[in-house]
Order: sequence, then structure tokens, then C-alpha cells
Amino acid sequence: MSLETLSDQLLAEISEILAKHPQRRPALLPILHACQRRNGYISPEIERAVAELLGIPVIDVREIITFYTLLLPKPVGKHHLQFCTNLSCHLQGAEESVAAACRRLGIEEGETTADRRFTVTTVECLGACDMAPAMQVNDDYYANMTSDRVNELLDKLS
Amino acid sequence: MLQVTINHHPCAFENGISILDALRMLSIHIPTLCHDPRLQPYGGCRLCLVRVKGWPGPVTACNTLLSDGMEIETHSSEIERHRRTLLRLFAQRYPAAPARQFPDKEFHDDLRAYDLMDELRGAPDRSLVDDSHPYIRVDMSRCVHCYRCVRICNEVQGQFVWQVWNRGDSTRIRPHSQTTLMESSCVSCGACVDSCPTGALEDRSLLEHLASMSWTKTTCPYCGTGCEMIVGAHQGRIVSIRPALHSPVSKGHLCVKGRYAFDYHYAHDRITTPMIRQDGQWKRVSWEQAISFTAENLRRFVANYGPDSVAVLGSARATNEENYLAQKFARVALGTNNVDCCARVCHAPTAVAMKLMLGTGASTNSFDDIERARTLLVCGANPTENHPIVGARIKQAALQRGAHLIVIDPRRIELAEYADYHLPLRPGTNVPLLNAMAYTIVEEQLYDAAFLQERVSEWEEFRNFIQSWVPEQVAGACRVSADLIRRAARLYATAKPAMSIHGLGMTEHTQGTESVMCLVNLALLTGNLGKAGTGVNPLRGQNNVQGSAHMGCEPNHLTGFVALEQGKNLFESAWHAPLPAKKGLNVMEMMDAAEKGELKALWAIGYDLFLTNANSSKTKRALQSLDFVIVQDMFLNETAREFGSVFLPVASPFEKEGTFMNAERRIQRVRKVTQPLGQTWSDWEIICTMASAMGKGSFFNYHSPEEIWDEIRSVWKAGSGISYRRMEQAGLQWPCPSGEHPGTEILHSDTFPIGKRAALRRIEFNPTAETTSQEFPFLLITGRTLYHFNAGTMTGRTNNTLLGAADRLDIAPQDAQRLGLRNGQRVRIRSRWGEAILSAQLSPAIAPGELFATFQAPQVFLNHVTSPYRDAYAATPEYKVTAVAIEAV
Amino acid sequence: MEKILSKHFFNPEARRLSFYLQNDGYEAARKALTCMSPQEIIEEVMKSNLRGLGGAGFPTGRKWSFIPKDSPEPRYLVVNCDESEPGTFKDRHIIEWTPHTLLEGVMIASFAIGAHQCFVYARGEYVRYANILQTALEEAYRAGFFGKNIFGTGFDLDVMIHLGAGAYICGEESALLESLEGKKGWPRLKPPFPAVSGLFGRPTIINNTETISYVPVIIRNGGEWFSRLGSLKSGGMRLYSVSGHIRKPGVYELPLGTSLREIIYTYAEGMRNGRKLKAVIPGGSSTPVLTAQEIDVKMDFESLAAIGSMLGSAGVIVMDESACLVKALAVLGKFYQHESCGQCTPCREGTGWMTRILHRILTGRGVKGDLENLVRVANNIQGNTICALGDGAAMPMISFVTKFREEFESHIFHKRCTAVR
Repeated sequence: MSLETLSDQLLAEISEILAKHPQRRPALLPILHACQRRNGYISPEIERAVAELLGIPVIDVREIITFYTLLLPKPVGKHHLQFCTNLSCHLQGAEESVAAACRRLGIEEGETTADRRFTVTTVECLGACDMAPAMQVNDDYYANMTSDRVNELLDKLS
Repeated sequence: MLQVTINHHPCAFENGISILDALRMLSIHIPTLCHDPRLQPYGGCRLCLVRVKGWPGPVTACNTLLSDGMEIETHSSEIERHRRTLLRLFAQRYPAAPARQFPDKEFHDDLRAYDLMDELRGAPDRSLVDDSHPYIRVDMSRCVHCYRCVRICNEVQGQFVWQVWNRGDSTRIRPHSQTTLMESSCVSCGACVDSCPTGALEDRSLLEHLASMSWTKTTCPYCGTGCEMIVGAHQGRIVSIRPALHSPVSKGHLCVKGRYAFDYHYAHDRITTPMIRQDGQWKRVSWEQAISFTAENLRRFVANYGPDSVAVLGSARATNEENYLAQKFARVALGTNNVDCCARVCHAPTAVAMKLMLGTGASTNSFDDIERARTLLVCGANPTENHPIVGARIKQAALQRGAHLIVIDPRRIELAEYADYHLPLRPGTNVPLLNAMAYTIVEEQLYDAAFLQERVSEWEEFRNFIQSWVPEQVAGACRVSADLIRRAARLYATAKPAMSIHGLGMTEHTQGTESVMCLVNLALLTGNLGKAGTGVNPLRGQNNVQGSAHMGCEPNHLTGFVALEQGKNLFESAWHAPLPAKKGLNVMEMMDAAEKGELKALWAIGYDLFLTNANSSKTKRALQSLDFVIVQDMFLNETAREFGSVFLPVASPFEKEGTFMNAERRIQRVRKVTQPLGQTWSDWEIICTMASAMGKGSFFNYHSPEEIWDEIRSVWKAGSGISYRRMEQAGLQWPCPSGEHPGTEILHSDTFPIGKRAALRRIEFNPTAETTSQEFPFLLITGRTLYHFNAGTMTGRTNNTLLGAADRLDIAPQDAQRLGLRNGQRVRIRSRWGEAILSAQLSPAIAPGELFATFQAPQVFLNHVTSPYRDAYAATPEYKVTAVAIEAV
Repeated sequence: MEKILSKHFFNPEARRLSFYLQNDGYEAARKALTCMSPQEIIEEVMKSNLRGLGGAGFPTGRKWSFIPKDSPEPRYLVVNCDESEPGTFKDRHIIEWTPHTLLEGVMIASFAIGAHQCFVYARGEYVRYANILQTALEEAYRAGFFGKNIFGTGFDLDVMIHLGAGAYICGEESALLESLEGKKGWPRLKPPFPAVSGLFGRPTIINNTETISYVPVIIRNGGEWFSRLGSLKSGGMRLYSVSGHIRKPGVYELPLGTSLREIIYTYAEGMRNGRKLKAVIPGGSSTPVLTAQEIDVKMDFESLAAIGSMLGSAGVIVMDESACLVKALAVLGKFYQHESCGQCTPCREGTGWMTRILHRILTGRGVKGDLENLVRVANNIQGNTICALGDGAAMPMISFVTKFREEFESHIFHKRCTAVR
């Protein structure tokens, strides 16, 4: 049974979500969010378990994951640095901030450090243009992330 | 009517059509990629944009309804520029080679029309090619994201194979298996290929034959659904089959058998010259020799032992015209009523039950009623495998339209997944289950009182009788909870109109006829008869099994299912010949008579009775006792191999003209696609020549199937309006008594052929003698599967063998585990009557204690195992219940 | 002028129900539910000239009036908080600093359209901000403002907050509905419009977060009062998000019709480091760009339309002379390519094609005809797609290339960037 993949805590959270949704399919995104929060990413096992839980084909779950960028089919580092590189952040030098982070961590954009602590990705507009250059680390927003401030943050997180 | 202006010309149209429909009616071509008339309008490709005066922007013609006063412009320079730019965007990613190689593809047409052939910049990409499937080649470097494959798989077949991954210009269409099409749940219906406008999905058979082809519309030679197809031939050889878009039955869809399994025509072992067995060896002879040898023998038996020493078997695979001749030959040339066909071993109980109770032994309604019914009751049928086009329509009714579905079947068949209720009854308990449903309807007063009052008799008697069929009391025997029986009964009785659809799981029992009577009872009680979306509807197994019996290949009935005594005068005057008065033998009785030495000679047309009749040891004894066996077939079948005296090789349905009658009483044209292979003849030509050699040529002086058909129309009133000329457009459903009559979709609307009222039947339950014991603990059900057809004669000689095995024994995982059986393991299956060896397949669809096996492989010869028990009324063998034991080989 | 939504921005206390109640919180809702009929509410909103502030600008009261009346069928209110238009961050401020205003608006709007269930769809990245809203919602539930029998009127209302998962397209209302139903965000063909067949096939009204948040003040002070705050056809106030090369980026709540110059120079305190203004995107990345000469335009729906642009989501992105507009446009092109859903041809194929051309020009490989191609493809997308994302991708292309053609040509023909570093 692939449902065993899900921890008791997660299952409890999922039943709570299901209880709120009279229909099952609409619970898919909330459940995937919950799974990702607990597990860090959505593994094939989780895909299967969720599909089973909702009584939908596992491939439907996969289709959803390939469509939505926040749903991660692969693990990321403990700190997931997501740099906005859209226009307002670009105007404030977002690329330099990304470069600074990559240089500091010794990885390319899109990669994870060998110790699995950091992943650097670039993302589209975060809705934080007033904070440009903005970034999101896991769930938290960070403002004015110039190269220097990126290095300061990495000092703190390292 | 809507008055509109199209390109400055005023025109008028019916309400409710799209702009695109209107343009197509006027033959105004605008390019489309995502449009397919079989699918919901989609509006995604944006090539069909047109200008409508007063609308802010261009609108998609495919999904915009025409409305009064519209002024439409279809080819303004602005719109044409737009179309060209769009196509140019595609061209950047599209490879040039296929566009030149397959000029006929819709998309390639458009590229040429917009002068973009020189702008094709895409590169072939091996990683997007999937060569796994024996019939379908996938090359997604040619995908233009019209999503027709995805949609037709979802909206028509209901298989959900194609999935859309990623988004934007990284969107990819892949089978849900995430690997190859072969590993997906694809059922190889080929709908996606048929719809694909570029050839990203293509039939392999076409890739190998690129030259121009001729296309002929005809009717599918497989099951009794009667799908229409267009068959493509190249240099006298069939190379491709596509669905006929406007078929009233199949509506542009086919299944894997009809669509792809045609290579048997060219199998190395197809017999193309007549043969006579001499000293145990087959010897090729000329047609003259074969005919005179056969005729001489037949004359001898008639002279020495009387006409009833000979019997003829018509063929459910042959045309109506040929079956008509087969029975006329028996009655006129031989002078016997010993004529039957394989309807005996399938739906004869249906014909008997429905004829007795309602007056007509055929489907009361039509396949189109599937879309009209609110509730569908499927009993003892597995349509998604055995009548896939009907199956797909039922599935869509349940999935898209939300129709209610009740499945009564021992196995958890695919439709059970979509059903409101699945009643997994113990094999052989149809009668008590259906009686208990009737009980519920009566007890809870869910019957249609007005209908009972007006159209039904013996209601009081039935009401008293049914009191003893309490669901709680039959639940144990049926292995279905009383609650489930009651719920199913309530749904059928209240969510109306409700339509029942049944198969051989109802008829191939010792109580086959009685089971169908119980089903008719339910329809009578609830008034689910004579209206749209209702009725009792058998799914007939073979292309023309309905027609072969109906044409008179029936020992007690003449053409039109007219009883012998009733039709004697009419037919004697029509045929200018006396008719034998003595009742004839049905095929099972023929076997009995042969064994007793009373029957000497048998002419079996397109019917491998040794392989397919139940209880092979008995069939063998019978056939061995015959002095003379004429086998007429495309292949040296098992009957011929063991017992044949003469072999007469025939043309296939693609090699001749004629008509078939489908399960909904529709007569459709069969057309010649290619010349008969080698020296094969059509069945009708053989029968006529044989009659002539027997000195009866004057009764069989026909020059074409149409001439035969016109004679049939003259003796069969209900078919008299159905001419070849009228059938050119589309087949017609009988009764159709005149040239102006539109045909009859729904029988019994106001009255029954037997009068205003039909009587409810009080059916007691007489269980089969075939029961499990300590020695034979399992109940075996036999049947067929998606990829193979009946005895496997045709499909067994095609690549369908790569898609599915024909020697499968389904066993519940619990039982397999207990017996230590693995998937694929060879298993001996033994009954009181014989044994056979198959491959075990663990299947959760089968209940513990039960087994399901296919009878489709000659090497398995499953009918060694089946019992000699027969239906009390129709003599149909009990294929569906045999007590067996199994062990690993 | 007194602020409405932004009055208590940056005051964490303002998130609390107690604070909100001390400031007349939920009084408008009480008034609406106890003293007004749904029809009266709709009329009041019509009078206010409140228009859809997500970008489309459709009159809110009229939208509400499309919901079938006297039908027993359930209907839904959906609040679009999938704020993803580059340059826009006002909705984030609302749920972060004044969540109860939104919730009160939800209550009034739901009552007006007869909905007993509301979904707030917030973009997945806003998880922290959605939590703030969730906390406020729970507080309001506990105080009896949501759930059964609100204000003893017998009116029931439940609100659920739903997180998106990273797809700009889900800001499109029908894609949002698909996403709420657990599917991927492919926009639906219209008609039918959501007011007739929306979420789960039921009548559904979808409004932007900011739009709904202005409803309480309209009920409190009257529609006419609100409409007088703004210009003739666009009533009231709105939140302008200002970002880019500007001294004080942020959200400014101003009457509709405030001039762009005023917003840039008076409120956002002008350009930095004495740089010269070069270009302004007035209403989120999808709206046609303006030159420095065009900034006297009044920031309302009609005035911007008159000069060929749009107010959109009022996300003002300011670019000074140091900005390379080829690069800026390439950044936007990549965004639309990334966010195109893939359903219809012009957008799926066109966004990728345009981005590839821009990338070529940017990397010095541009050729003659590239700009014509760019505009042709953009024209081909605009107005020809299932949803407005295609238009959003096309309009910046056409406007940038038309208004700043020399800068693009310099890249193509002289392989030189004219931005002042």
C-alpha cells in the first residue's frame, strides 16, 4: 500500500483538507502543498499515494505537477533561494544578486549545494517589486537583496 | 432559419449550427487544426478565426454559433495574414520531410496552401519517436498541439491515454505510462491516429504503402455492432482501414479489430483453391471437380437416405443474401428443414424469449438510445471488450452525461468501474436475481401502473407468483446482497428511461431463454419499452448473426423469422417449389442425429463447429460419424482439418458485395474492396453453382447479390422497403415495409406484433446440473477478449496476437496464491468432460472460486472442458458455467 | 485626502479584529446584511462606479447583476488574490495589513449575490500573507462574523482560502476556476461566462482582492461619495504599486485620475541619482509602455486608453536612462513564454518565437526584419487568443518596439546598447 508513504501527521492533515472539500479533486492542490511542506518535494511515492487517496490516476497528479512551478518533483536544499528576475528586480540588479549567491555557494543557477543546504533558482515576479531585488527563501520574502545583502544572509544561514 | 451574409452573399441556415458548419455546407474552406466533428468544439488552434461585423475582434468559427443577421468575412487579407503567420510559427518547429512525404495530411495541405513549404525548419527528433506499438507509430516532433489525440481518446473512446505535460511551448503530449504507447492502457482503437492532422500519430500499415490508394466504404466484418469503415487498397491489397465519419452506428469510431486486424487476408495459410480429401490427404482440385464431387455426394445421400440425412449450416460471417441462399438450398435443393446457424450457440435464447413475449426476436431499440437513456442496465455483457464501440458509447454516457449504470456480471468488468451498482452474481443465477429485482419493483410499487394497465397481461398472476422471490432469500444463492439487488431494481424502475443491454452471459445457460424472459419482465413492469432510451437489447456477437438466423437459417423458421407452417404457402408460391413440412434439426440436434447415424452429410459454411461448440468430445463423436463433411471457409479450420471431405475456399467480406444485419436490426451494405484472392469464390456463387450441379439451377438463377436481395424483399415484408439504392446513403432498420418508410428505430411503441398486450412470464428457477464439488471446486466462465474475435480465425492471424494473448485463464489473486500459481504459469484445467491447458493470469476482476478463460485459441481447444448441458428452449449450450479443477502443469 | 485601505498599512495592530472593530469594522457588513436588500447593495456599488481593479476594469455592480436571481442553485464568490502581474503588489499589502477589510467586503459581496461559500485564491508564493489572512478569518469566525446565521439574519457564509501553486495564468478568472477545481490552469472558452457557469458549473462571481476591499467603504459612505473621489467614469480610489528606478517604491492610495507625473515625482519622490526618466509601464507589465513625454496622463481607465495604453492593475514600473529596453523587453518576453499555458496556438508558439528573436537581438545577432517579425507575431497574438494572456504578451512587444525603435535598431544594426550606464 503506497499510503504508508505518508506519515501519520501528514495523513491527519490530509483528512482535515478532505473534510473541508465536499469534492475530492479540488483537494488535490492543497494536499500536494501539504505533502511538499512535510516532505520537501513530491516524490513518485507521494504522487502514487495521493492519487490513490483521491481515486484519480497517478498520471493526473503528475500532469498537475508538471504544470505548476511551485510543485517540486525533485528535492531542493534546506534553504531554497528563489531570486525574482522579472522586470522591477532586474532593474535593481537581480542578476548580480543571483551571481553573487552562486559564486558564494559554488553552484550554478538551478543547482543544489553538495551538502544539500542551498538551492539557487530564478523565478518570475514574486509580487514584491517594492522590495526589489526581492527573493523568497522557502516561505519567507526578503527585500533589497543586493549582492551584499545576499552575502550577509548567507552568512546568517550558513 | 437564420439569415446571414457570408463573404457578402446572403444565405439561410438552420438554427443551432456553428459558423464553421455553415462554411463547410457552402464548401468555403478555412483551415482548422483542432476541429474534428466527433469532438466538442475546442477553439484552440485559432486558425478558423473569421470576422463578424460588429464584433470587437475576430471570432473562432468552430465554437461560435451562427446567429441571425451575422455578416461574416472569412478571407479578408487581415485574416489570411493572421492564418499565414500562425502556420509560419508552426513551420519553424516542423520537419520538412514528412510534409513532402505525406501531402494529403490536413496540416500539410494548409502549409502548401499558405506557401510555407520552404519555411519548414524543424529537425526530426528521435527522442520523440515511439516505435513500440505494432499498429501505431508515434513521432511527436510532428505534433502541432491541436490536442485532438488527447480529446478523442477522452471524449470518444474514454481511455484517457494521452496526457498533456508541462505548459506553454514546452508542452508535450505523452502516453500516461510515461514510457511507450505499448506500455500504456491504450486499447488500440486508432481514434487518435485517425484524428491527427499531421501524422505525428500514424498507422504503420500506411507508412509502408505510400502510394495512392482507393478507398471503399463497407461494414465491419467482426462483431454485430455494425460499424462502418472505409477500406484503403493499394494494388489490390488492403493496406489501411479508417472509420467512416458519418456512420449512424459507429459515428466515426472503430475498435482494434475492425481498424487494424485485417492482415489475415494475406495469411500464408489462407486457402485459395478448392480441395478434396483423398485417402486422408487434401488434394487441390478445380472448382468444377469440387462442385461436381460434392453435388454427386449430396444427391447420393438424399437418394439413399432421404433429404433429412443432410444438413446445412449457414454462416454468421456471410451476408444476408448468402444465408438466404443457404436455407433456400436446404429447403428447395435438398428438401430438408435441417438448416441452422451459429446463432444457436449464442443468442437463440434471446430470439426465442423476445419472440415469444414481445413478438419480435430482436433488439427493441437502437444504439442511439444509449445516449437517450437515463439508466443503462448491462447484464452478462462486456461491451468495452466485445462490442467496443457500444462499450465506448456506454462509457461516455456514464462519464460525460452522468447516465446511471447498473452492471450485472460475475466479473468486475471495465464498465463496473463506472457503474452506480455492480451486482457480481454467482454464474448461473440470472433468474433468481432478476426475479428478486422484479419482486422489489412490485413490492415497493415502482411499476408503471398505466403501462401495465394498457400494454401488459397476466399482471395479477405475476404479482402472486413474484411474492416468493424476496431479495433477502435469493441473496445467498446469487452472492449479491439484498440491499444491492433492491437498489439496482429501484434505479432501473425509477430513473427512466432505462435501457437494458445484454450479452451471452444471459443466454449461454441452461436457463438462457428464461433469463431473457426475466429481463423482458422487468421492462414490462416498469414500462421501459416502446420508448426512446428503453427496451431490451441483445448485443449480437458476430457481424451477421442477426441476419443469418433472420434470413431463415433456422430449422423452424423461414426468412423473416416466420414459422414454417405459417410461411409455407407464401414461400412455396414465391419459390415455385414445395417445401418440406417436417421440422428440421438445430445444430445441437444435428450432432445428436449424426451420433445416432441418422445424419450422413453436413455442409458447414463459415462455422468451425468442432472448435466452437461446447463439449468437444461429443462434437467429435458426432462429426466422426458423418460420412460427408463439406467445409466452406477462408482457412482450413479445425472442423475441416479433422473431418472435412471437401474444402471450398471463400472470398472474405472485403471481396464481395452484399448486406449485413447488425444487432439493432440495421441492414447495411457490404462492398467489394478488392478482387477475391486466388481462386476463392463468394459463398453465394458457390451455393448457386452447387444448386445448378444438382439440377436445381432454375431456382438459383442469380447474377448479383442485389438480385438475391430483391427476392428477399419480396418474401419478407418488413424488409421490403430496404433497397440497395436506399442503403447507398446509410443502412436502414427493419421494419421498413415500403420504399418511403424511414425504418424503425424503436419497436413496440403502440402495440406488439402479438397484439396490444404482452404477457408477464412466471419463471421458476431450474439450476444447472453443472455444480462444483470437492473434485471440481471452481466455476469456469468462458468468453472472449478485446484483441481476439471468437475462434481467433481472423485475429489470430494478425498482430493482435502481440497486443493480447488468446489463451488466458483469469484467476483471482487469492486463489492463485493458495494454489501457488504465478502470472503466465501454464495451468491444466479439468472438468467432468475434458481438459485444456492455458496460461494463468492473476486478475482482481474475477471472484475467488471462479475462473474466466477465452475460447479463442485452437491450440487450447477450451471446449474440451465445457459441458453438454443445453438451454431448455433453444438448445444453446451452457458455455458460461462449468465446474473445473486446476493444477500447474 | 484620507486613505481608505492603506490608512493602517505597516501597523501590525491593524490586522487584529479588535483594532478593526474599534475603527467601525464590520459595521458596513452589518448595515448591508440587516438594513439592505441584495439589490440595494448592487445598486449602491453600481453608483460608486467601482470597477474591476485586477486589470480588466469591468464595472463591479454590473458584474454582480449578471448572477441569476431567484434560482435555488448554489453560487460562489471567488476572490482573486493570485496577484502575479509584474509590477503589482497591492493585494499582498491588503491581506498583509488589512485582512479584515477584505473579509468584510467578502461578506457584503456574498450577501449581494446570494453566495454561501467564498473562495479566496491566493498565489502560492504568498503563503505567509495567506496565513495572516487565515488568522484574521479564524478570528472573525470565532467572533461570529462568518459561519451560520450572521448578525442573526439567517444568512450563512463560509470562506476558504486556497493557495495556487505557481502559474501566472491562474490569475485569468476561468483558469483560476479550473485550478480551484484541482486541474491545471487552462482558461475556458467563453461563453459561458462564470456568472452563468463558473466554479463546478455553478454561477460564480470572481473579483479582485482590491475591488472587494473597497466594498465596505462604499456601503458605509454610499456609492456616490465613493464615485466623487475619482474621475468621471472610474469611481473612487485605488492602490498604485510603484516600482523600478524610483526613490520610494511602494503602494500609494490615490484617487483615480491622479496624474502619472504626480505619482512618480510627488508621491514616489522622483528618480534616483539624478537619472533621467526614460519609460514607464503604467499598469502592470502587460500594458503598453509610455515614454517620458507621456507622463502627464491621468491614471484612470479612460485617459490611459486614450493614449493607447491601459490602467490595468495600476502597477507602475519606472525605467530611467540606464535601463536597456531591449533587455527589459526580453525579460518580459521570457516571462510570458514561461507562463503561457500551451492551450492555444498564437500564445504558445508566439511567445517562444518572440523571446527567441529578442534574445538574438540582445546577443548581437539581430538581423534586419526582426522588428517587423516581432510586431507581426505580436499582432497575430493580440485579440486572437482564448484568454488575455496573449494580449498581455503582445502589447509590450508592440509598444516597446514602436516607441523605442531606435534603441532596438541600434542593437541590431550597430550592435550597441544606448542605455546610459
